Amino acid sequence: MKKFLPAALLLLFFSTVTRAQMSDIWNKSEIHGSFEVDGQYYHADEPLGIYDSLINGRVFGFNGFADLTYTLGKFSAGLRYESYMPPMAGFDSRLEGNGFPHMWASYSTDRFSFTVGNFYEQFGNGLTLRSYWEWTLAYDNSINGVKIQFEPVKGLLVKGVYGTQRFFWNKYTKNSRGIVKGLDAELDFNQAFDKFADSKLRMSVGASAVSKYQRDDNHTYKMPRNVGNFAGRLALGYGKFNFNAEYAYKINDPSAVNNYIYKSGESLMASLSYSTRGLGVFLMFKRLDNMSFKSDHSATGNVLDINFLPPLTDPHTYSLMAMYPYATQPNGEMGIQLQVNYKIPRKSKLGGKYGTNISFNYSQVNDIVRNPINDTTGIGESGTLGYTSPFFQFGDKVLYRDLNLEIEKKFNRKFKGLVKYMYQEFDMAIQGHAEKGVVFSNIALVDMTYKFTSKKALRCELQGLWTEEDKGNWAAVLLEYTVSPHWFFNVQDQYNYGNPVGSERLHYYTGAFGYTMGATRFSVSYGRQREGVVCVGGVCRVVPVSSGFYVTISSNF
Amino acid sequence: MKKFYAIVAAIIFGIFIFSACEKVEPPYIDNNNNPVPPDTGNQSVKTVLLEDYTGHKCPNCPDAAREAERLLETYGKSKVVVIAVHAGFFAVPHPGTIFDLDLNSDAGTEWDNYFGISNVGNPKGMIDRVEFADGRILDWGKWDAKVSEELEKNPQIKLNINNSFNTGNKKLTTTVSGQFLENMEGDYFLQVCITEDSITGAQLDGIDVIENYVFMHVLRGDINSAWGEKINDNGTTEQNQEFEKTYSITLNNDWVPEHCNVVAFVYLDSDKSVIQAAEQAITE
Repeated sequence: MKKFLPAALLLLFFSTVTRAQMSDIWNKSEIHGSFEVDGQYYHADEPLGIYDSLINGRVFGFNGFADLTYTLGKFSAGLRYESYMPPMAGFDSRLEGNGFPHMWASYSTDRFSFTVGNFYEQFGNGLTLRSYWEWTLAYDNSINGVKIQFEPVKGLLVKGVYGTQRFFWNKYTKNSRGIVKGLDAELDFNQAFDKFADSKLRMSVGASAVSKYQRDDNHTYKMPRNVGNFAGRLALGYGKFNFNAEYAYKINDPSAVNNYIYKSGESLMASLSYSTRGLGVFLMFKRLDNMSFKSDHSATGNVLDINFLPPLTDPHTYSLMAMYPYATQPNGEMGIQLQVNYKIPRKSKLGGKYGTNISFNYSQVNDIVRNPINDTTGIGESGTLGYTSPFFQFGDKVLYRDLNLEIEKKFNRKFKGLVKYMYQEFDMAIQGHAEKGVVFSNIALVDMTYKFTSKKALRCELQGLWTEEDKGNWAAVLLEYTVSPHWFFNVQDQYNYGNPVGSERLHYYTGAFGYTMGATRFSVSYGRQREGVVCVGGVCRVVPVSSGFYVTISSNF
Repeated sequence: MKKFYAIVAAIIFGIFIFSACEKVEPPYIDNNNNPVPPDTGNQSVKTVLLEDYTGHKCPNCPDAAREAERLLETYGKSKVVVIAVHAGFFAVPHPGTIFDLDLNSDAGTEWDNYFGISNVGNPKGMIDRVEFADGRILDWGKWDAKVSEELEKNPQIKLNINNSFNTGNKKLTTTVSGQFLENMEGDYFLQVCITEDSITGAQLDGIDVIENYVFMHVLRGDINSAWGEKINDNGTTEQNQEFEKTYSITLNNDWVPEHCNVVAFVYLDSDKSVIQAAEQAITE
């Protein structure tokens, strides 16, 4: 009988819905989505240390997804198919498989919104909760459960979430990992109160509380089964000034990440910005202390993160400047960042006909200070309170320092250029190479674009990285020819000419072309991928050295 | 109405906050939660295989190694056998630096490739190679619970190792014998390999470099190939069915016989899960 029940229900549905109604549903329905497949073919490349034995028969890696969203009025639903068959090199091998890890349905009214299934959510800056999907990292900490959003009065938004997090393809089973529950409320004074409606002062306050439950399955330590993480935030704006701050406090959360210490965690983020025509100034402070918050205390790496610890350093896209990217240190870091953007006005002496853009950025991240809790306990010793740490004191150890200056100028209708200089200090312990100490580097680049016609342009990038540490000096060159709006062709090479080991002074060359048609893009490249680290938002994954073809097809609709 | 919503919201937040936290008071060590089953002196106890996938340039791996030692101390050597498999990116030797020690082995690399472990990011491990609800590749914080879970299983096979070692020519003869304790289905394989303790070399430990780190339970190599030898026929095994396998090898000159052990384990071929493990020092 059970077999016939769905068919019977469908028959009943279609018999009661008229053709006109069906037509109406059809006309109001919308489907949107995106699609991407990335494939990599590997071959041996002995100078890079890639032998057939290392490839071990796995000559092809494949990552792909298709994301679909259906909407009909207040109702929406979606699903995502993913395939890693097998995952490309540098992606977690536990991803291997294919299926639908993400399915959801949602119904929204003016005041309420209900979502069931897999969803993403963020409270404030994410210090207590942020679930998101980042394809380039194959990072997905979505929550499978229920999300409710409620706006009881205008300007007050309350959100609640309850569920378990994605862990590769492993379905949640009893006690296999923790359960996450969270509440968030944000009050926008300018919307909620009439007397603030026309005020120059813009103000909102918010608070969030997130808790995880996990069974105490540890036979060594007394584990807290419920761990709470609370945060309060404030956003103020007046004229051209904006101020944002959020403080979070997490109670004892012993875990593999913090070496099973019982110290509470704390975090403070504050930023002040000023923005006017032609000038923007942004100043930021951040402190993290023991703020890893996962739904499984034994998990390490980029899995089961409940919260998100925003990065403070300047994200770089040019290849040599991105060679030593900073990864957020959840166990403790303190930093500041200053960003100034200025445009020298058009038709001025320095600005020229088109004006000149100047950007300056300085960021520095230090370790926090850690003092022993008493004379007999080591700093960070498992099964203790770990350490004490004065809140506003920077540790002596500099983990990262970056000073960069960028000048961008358009010389005429056909030619524009950008020059950039960066001084960087990077503690290799961040990448797990403490024995290499700190890398001090100077990096410079020139990026020039010449337009032959309105559709045809040639771009040239020249970069140099000079350091006496790690792998020594690098040079990089890129030439890219674009025929808008469809074609691009490029060749590039990164040359490690200053490597202290002669046999490792290698070229990492690549040739690529691509075709874009509307929202669909196809590209093929061939060459060598140097070993490195890719970071998005302070979350990183290691990219191993490889050699071969890389194909990608993506589309949105 | 606004007041009503504010009160309701405050109540919900209040309930949430009070139910969301559990402050643990010291002492944090749980002395009353001893999961170790009593040792009855019976030879046919379940012994768990713990594989610790590691590398000398893996900064978090010493944490995992310490956990493995703690589990050995907690449960005893009769119930846990540890193999430290040095494989993958973190285990690559770097000649000309203090990280020149090569602790890789063909079998270890084969296992690492097959199970995809170092690709996940060491330290990681497997407990009896069992696919648990939360996966087969486990963070070290999970090892204790999984060892305990495996130890609750009844032993399905008795396993014994007898070693004979000639110190003159360094020839080792090892005989592994076993007896199935119940009727079983499936193809079962015997894997025999050699581990070595007390190897000294450089190891990253957090942000420190330990130049004289002592490596324990290092997989030196297999004795009967990376995937062992089949010990039953036709996919069925009857209770009390016995087997005996004898192997001879000559120890590598770099290995210290007094620090070497023969490790044997039996696994089900279809899912690679280990049903019994044993360890015996070479020179005892």
